[in-house]
Amino acid sequence: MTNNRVTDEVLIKEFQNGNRNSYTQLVTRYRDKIISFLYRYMHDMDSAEDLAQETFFKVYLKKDSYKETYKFSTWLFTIASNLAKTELRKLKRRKTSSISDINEDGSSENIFVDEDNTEKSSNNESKILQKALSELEHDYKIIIILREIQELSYDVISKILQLPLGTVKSRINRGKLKLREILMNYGVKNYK
Amino acid sequence: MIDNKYLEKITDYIENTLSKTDKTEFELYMNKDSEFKKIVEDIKINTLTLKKLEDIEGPSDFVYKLNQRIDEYENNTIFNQLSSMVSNIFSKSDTFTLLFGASLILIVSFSFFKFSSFGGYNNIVDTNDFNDSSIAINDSDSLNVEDPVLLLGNDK
Repeated sequence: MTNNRVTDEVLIKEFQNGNRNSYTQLVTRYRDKIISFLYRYMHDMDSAEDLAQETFFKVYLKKDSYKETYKFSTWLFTIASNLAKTELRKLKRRKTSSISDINEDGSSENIFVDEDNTEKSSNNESKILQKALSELEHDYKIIIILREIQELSYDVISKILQLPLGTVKSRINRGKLKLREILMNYGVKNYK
Repeated sequence: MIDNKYLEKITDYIENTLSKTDKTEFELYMNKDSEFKKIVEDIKINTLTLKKLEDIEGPSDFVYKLNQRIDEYENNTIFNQLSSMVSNIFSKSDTFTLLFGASLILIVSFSFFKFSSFGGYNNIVDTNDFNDSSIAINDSDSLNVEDPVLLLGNDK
């Protein structure tokens, strides 16, 4: 089966030549991915949407800065991660995070071994994991999101974050270890 | 204490991208250290859960809002460009300013003369255009100003 989908790189080229419809196609194509990425990073839906708007607006303004040497998605995620990093830094100055909203009854323990209600258990897992992820330091968090949730290659992540491949691999392992520590601090002790 | 050498290989082991030799070595170490084995298992579970997290659907008006913002920006840009162009011209060229001012005065003066009584064009109807004899007052009538009755018709 042939894939007739126009590539991102063709669309951005058309947009650079003045076709705004191509820009809208790119926005529609990446809207959910960017919002999800930003939500995982910010742990706040409003901020995620605002930053996603800002990301695509920057793409519009800086369209001529895009060079074909990188994939469009790499460029897009670079803009989004830079904006998110700046925003989180601003927010951290204003408030400190709390974990009190995870489980009001403190029942996070054993949450990963609830086999009677798989759907409920799965939702709880995601919720706790998402919260734990938000507690991670930026350097670890961003790599884990890009790799494990957005499923980008190490090579692409290394380009987005402008880090050597070895550092990316090392951070992903250390990040996962730290994520496990955070989860254990939440009381998640018994994994399946 | 976990050996860094093996810590760095956890993800590759989980993703099954280690070479055969490295994998054997990793598993040997893991089987000797129960704490490390537990860590690898936990990380594997966390990784799988992370992969299961689905994309969040953005709001339906996302593109609309974005386009609105872009249109606003574009409109402001056009206005600002025009403003700066005009102010640049005026600030840089005295000659242009003088010429522009003089042209403006000429246009205003011309308009004033055209629509004022000085030009003789203030009548709404130009009587020279009347060729219809039924409504025109002939020259002889207009001369008999001492007899206003004559101006109204041939009653005599």
